[in-house]
Amino acid sequence: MKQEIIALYKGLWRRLQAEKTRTIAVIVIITCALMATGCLYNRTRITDLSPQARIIENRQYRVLGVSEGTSSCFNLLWFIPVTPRTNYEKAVNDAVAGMRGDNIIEVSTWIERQVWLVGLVEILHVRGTVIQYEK
Amino acid sequence: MRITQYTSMVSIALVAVLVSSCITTPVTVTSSTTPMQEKKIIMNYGPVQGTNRAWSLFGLWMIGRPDIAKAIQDALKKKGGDALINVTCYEKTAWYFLFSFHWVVVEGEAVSYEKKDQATGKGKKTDTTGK
Repeated sequence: MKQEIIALYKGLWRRLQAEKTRTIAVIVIITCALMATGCLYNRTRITDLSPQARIIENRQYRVLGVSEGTSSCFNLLWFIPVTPRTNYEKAVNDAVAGMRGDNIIEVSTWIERQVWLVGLVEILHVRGTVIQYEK
Repeated sequence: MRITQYTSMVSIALVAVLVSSCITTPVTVTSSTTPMQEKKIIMNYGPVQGTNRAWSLFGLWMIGRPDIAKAIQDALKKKGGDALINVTCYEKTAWYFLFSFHWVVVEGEAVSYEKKDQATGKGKKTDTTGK
């Protein structure tokens, strides 16, 4: 009886070892595939939520629709800036200009950070509802 | 033999505690999710909470992103309403061995406001003066 239990335990342990090897293999393959693209890290962080991007100058407005604007920067070798820094105003203007509006309401902002082999990319996203003031 | 087993179990438990942890980060506090100037609140449904989740492999590669707009929709779905007021937003991250999960949590009071909108042209004409 004792030997049977030991045999069962050994069998289970062997199966677990085999599963472990397979799991590790899958993880290594996924990691290699992601590393092969050159992307070492990719993370999005929410930074803000606000009713409007700028002061509402006219309370009579038309809603044009949802739009998204971005502003990005690149740091060579992760710390040498080669482009201007991300700019909130530029991202807002980008979103507003996309629909030829005047302001943006119900604004959510997030930053996407991608670490590549050659450097760091930061993308500031601004998304909201574009409005146009009634003339 | 027994001591070795005990030590390995304690080690595994310690490692499990170390690699599965969580953190909460405040994002923002805002008065409302939409401009409320001179909008008349007709119903306050009380506090609600909405979440949206994304996950990442090893905490390094995020698949998708936690969407704040979806979290707001999730909160509004619970009790109804048009917008949230007195809003608090924070992020929660939890690590479980190989994966990590990222939640955006939106808390606030769901409210309905008087609408005086008429559809015109491309979008809605919104009279927020209340006249």
